[in-house]
Amino acid sequence: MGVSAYINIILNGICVGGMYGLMSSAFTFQVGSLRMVNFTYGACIMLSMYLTFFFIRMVNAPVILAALGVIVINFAIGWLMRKTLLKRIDEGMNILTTMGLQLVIMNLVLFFFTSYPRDLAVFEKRIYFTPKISVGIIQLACFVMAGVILVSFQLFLNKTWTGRAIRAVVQNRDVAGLMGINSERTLDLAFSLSFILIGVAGMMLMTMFTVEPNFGDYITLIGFVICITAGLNNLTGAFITGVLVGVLSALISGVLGTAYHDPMLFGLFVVVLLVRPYGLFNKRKNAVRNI
Amino acid sequence: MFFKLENSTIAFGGLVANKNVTAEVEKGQIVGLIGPNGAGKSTMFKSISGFNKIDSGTIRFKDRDITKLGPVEVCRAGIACTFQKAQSFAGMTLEESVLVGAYLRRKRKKDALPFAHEMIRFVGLEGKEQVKIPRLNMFERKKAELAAALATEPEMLLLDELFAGLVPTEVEMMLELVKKVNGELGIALFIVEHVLRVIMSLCEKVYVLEYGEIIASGSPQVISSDERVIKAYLGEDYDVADDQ
Amino acid sequence: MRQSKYKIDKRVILYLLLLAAALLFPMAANRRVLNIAIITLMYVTLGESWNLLSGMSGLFSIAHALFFGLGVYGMTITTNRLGMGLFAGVVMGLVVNTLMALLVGVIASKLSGLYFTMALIGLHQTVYSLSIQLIDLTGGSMGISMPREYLFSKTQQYYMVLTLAVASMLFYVFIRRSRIGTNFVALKENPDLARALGSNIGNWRILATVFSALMASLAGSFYALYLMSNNTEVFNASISLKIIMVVIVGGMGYVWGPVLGSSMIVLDELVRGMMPSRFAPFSVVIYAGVLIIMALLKPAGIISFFQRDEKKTPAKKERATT
Repeated sequence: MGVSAYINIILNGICVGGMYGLMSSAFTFQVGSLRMVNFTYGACIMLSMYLTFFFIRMVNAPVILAALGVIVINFAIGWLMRKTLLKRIDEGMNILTTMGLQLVIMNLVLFFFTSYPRDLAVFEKRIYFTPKISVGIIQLACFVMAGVILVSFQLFLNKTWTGRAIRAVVQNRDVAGLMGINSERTLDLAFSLSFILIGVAGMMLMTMFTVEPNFGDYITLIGFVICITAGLNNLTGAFITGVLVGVLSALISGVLGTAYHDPMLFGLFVVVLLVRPYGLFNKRKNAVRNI
Repeated sequence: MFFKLENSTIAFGGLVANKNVTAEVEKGQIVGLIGPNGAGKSTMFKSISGFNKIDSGTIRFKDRDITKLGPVEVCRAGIACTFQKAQSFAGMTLEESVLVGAYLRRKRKKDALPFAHEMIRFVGLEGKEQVKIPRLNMFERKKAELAAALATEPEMLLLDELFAGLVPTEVEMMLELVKKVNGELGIALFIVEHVLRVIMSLCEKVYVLEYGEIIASGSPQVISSDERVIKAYLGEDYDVADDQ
Repeated sequence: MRQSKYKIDKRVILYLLLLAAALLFPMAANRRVLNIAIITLMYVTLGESWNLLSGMSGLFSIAHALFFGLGVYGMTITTNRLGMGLFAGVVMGLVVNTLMALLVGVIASKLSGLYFTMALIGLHQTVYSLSIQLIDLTGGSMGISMPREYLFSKTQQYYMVLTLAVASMLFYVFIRRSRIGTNFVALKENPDLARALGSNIGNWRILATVFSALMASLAGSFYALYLMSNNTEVFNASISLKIIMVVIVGGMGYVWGPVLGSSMIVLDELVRGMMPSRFAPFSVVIYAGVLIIMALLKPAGIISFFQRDEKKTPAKKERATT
């Protein structure tokens, strides 16, 4: 295998890693900032992938409409979840209920779409840097879009009134309430908004992967690995780690073979847990907690 | 030296919560700590009990350096604490939550249980051993927390606003109890308190903390006549006689 | 005082009657019913194991099939690949599970709550993919079978698993009443206060994980005897889900919780016999639905219907939000 092959693998890994980063930042935002444990997000990404497939291949809707449909449905799912499962913020119960919902989504998809793998089968133009080194146009576009979306999400959180309200509520619910912010509604909105990121990530992943009902499990795991490695509640860290994991996973599969992929990736994750349990990008906090 | 906190400094981000704080407690003494809200009193207590790691300075207890110890080791060394917001084990009965403390120095249940009962009796909650903690009222819960702390057999006890939220008659009873803890068990007490009457009637020595620094220390009489303290904490027109 | 003594007597009689019924059960049951009973009792054991970790110590293990599956694989690999006896198989499962639990526990002692859950899922996935890929050792997705000589009759299996279930219940009660249990509950209810009272929560978390893993391992070793083979299904998320459901439906933190909750397993086994396989995904949808509904509406489980004197105390968490 030549150098160019390695470079191709890495380029591919970076592009896929961008998607990983996008979806992980959604998770890290939900869990780290909003304190809403959402184990359904892998299933929701899988569902978004199926919906994309459904709209584009089975209904033959134009891409824009399909995208809009996926986003609206995800927003609705987020809002409904917040109103039902995550109404009470209780970590243990939230873990259980969202894990239950994840299995519901997965098995309903299994029932309606069957376990047959689905693929958008887009023919992709590639940009050739040299005759041997190339990158797919859609992949590259997705990576750029993922970056743009994340930056705009950060800007939204930092610059707009709503974004600031969200951050205020995250920091201190009671005080934000005193300042005239309806903290419940702000949290509803924040949670639903983060689901848009999930929807977008799902659509982009659909252009690169074939999807099966248990693809969600894999996504959930990758997401965990990324969020914990980065340290919870660190959106930028999650994106960077996402790209790293994308490259790493592409390299392991490409060089050593797919059989090594899971054990090596998750083994590495365990090492990170043991060595730097607070994540690569987070500083160790002072031990005092909720007293 | 029984207990000494020396030049303790701790910062959270840019906020310096404690700056060069020094405090001493003698064996069997009752020492008070007062100061306005946000002065860093709880932070100081948490650094002593091991929940906060101080950035610089030393904590010594019975000729031993306990600066770097965590809460468990500090408790084992003989310093127990109660929290500002009454903490409890919601799913437990009174008996069991006191047992948690009693198990620190007694590994077997047949040793620990009688001792836990003794402590429950000591704080005056006998007959409520099997009551679940959430069913106790505020006063009883504070006493329960005190009993659990006493069950670890400390030599020094940090009481963080033990009297807050109690009605005057309860304050009176708690005062008696605290005196009994000091008198009968010989435990040194370090008390953060807003109810000044408590501080004035209990303590031999008082430290005043403002903006993270000790601005005055001495006997209650000295403190209550110190100009800076009166200005900073008690307000311009405070009269000690009124409060008592 | 007299009344309470009378009550205790009534309880003991009830327990003895239940035990007698359980002991005599195989005489009245046919093979199919016995099979259901065996699976149900196995889930009681697994439920107690989960209950010890999550209900008592507050560490949410949503990948409990990890410990169970390791027990199964320890048994099959030892008897088939290494050619050793049953006892060695059980011990192998216990040893492997202890190591795994130590790893999980060390992580849990540094981190808690969500991190613990996520770490466990990561480990679970690693072990699961290893079980598929180490074909020489595990038999891959085809699995390996147990030697024929270890085939026990259904009645024998029933008594084995009954012993296991009763033992795990007794163990749960024993732990709950001992120093260990007091510390477990303390770290679940309020880790900070527990630490302030000198309870070394890190070590207690490790111990809880090890105990729980050992119980699940025994259930796994038994399941290997029941299946007479292993397959990667034992690591499946649906097994974890069933374990959790048994406890949540029954009542978390109570020794009788898993017993009451195991009625769900009976229901599941009965329904599965009748449903066409095309609708198989729906059974998982139904468990998950039951789990969600129970968790939202009746978090105290079925057992709360039986507690007349303990009127629903909303277990208020006295946690500050600062």
